[in-house]
Amino acid sequence: MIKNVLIPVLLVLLAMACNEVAEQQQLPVWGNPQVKERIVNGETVYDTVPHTISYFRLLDQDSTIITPESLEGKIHVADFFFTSCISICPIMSKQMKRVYEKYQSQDSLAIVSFSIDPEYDNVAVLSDHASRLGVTSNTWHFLTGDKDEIYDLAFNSYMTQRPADDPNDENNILHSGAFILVDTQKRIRGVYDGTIADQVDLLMKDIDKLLKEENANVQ
Amino acid sequence: MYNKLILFCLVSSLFLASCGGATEGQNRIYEGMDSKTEMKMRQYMKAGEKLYIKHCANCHQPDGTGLGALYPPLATADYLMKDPRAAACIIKNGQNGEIYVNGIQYNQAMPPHKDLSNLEIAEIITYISNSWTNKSGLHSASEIEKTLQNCK
Repeated sequence: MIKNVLIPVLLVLLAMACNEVAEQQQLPVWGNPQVKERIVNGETVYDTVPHTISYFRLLDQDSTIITPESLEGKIHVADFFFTSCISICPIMSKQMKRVYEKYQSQDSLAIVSFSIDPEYDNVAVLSDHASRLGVTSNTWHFLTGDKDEIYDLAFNSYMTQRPADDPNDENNILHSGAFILVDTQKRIRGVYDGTIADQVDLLMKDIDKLLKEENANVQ
Repeated sequence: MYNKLILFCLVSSLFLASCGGATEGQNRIYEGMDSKTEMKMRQYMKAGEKLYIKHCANCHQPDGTGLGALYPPLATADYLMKDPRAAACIIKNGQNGEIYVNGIQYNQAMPPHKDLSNLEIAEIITYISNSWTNKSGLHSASEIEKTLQNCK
């Protein structure tokens, strides 16, 4: 009789304990770290530097200049889109709007959508797009600017877009619907398919985890 | 005792009426139809739903509510319901420029769907104009074929 009660109770406790551990696990840091050398007191010191988002200087839909400094102290979610895109962008817009609606009143998170067609998507077009989407706060930045700079961010910083196979193609980019979660130190902490609602659910769970982690670090 | 019986009958008939509401809601679009037309329309609705999810829901959403002022709704949309068959030209050839739906201005290009057949377009139109509280009866392939001959 005791066995009948004890074993199930132990199993339940075990299951709960495993959940606890899983919950406390931190989000991974994505990308290949680099080892950098420094000389300290005549000795060579090696630092492992994680992959981070590079510097950029772009314009948002309110004509505000946005650099990584504009995102100081905030985590951000990034994606790549263009306003005349009718394939994956509608779903991405819908899904990103869910993230926007959940966190728009919070200072701690920003959303950054980079246009991969900045020649057509100028400030006026992005402003119209943002207002049509129902974006009113400055939580969500739609960015335009130098095309090479944006492509470089897409390929090398956020790493979710790839050059297309045809080098003669003017729009030399394979467009993916990835949403990238980046922490306050500009490190990538998660990548999610923005065309799938379940993945965006997971993104929002991870955002909460990351915000907890960032708050703990501040204290 | 008699009063309790009457009360019981009233309450249970209310329950039955409300439980029947779900099928009643779907069946309202077939009201007054002969069984042959109803059968045909049921087939159109089934096929139309599949086509809608595949070709249209991306922008207009599975529940027909559109997205902000970017993609217009189809559910209770005055622009669609004033003449559902006119949507055939828009679906086939696409459309550019400013339109007003339920008082809101939209200005996003809709792409053409040249690969859809007359029947498929008729199925989509029947589906969208008879879903989400919309109601407008069957729009057959032959009617849509006529409409498509007169697109501007």
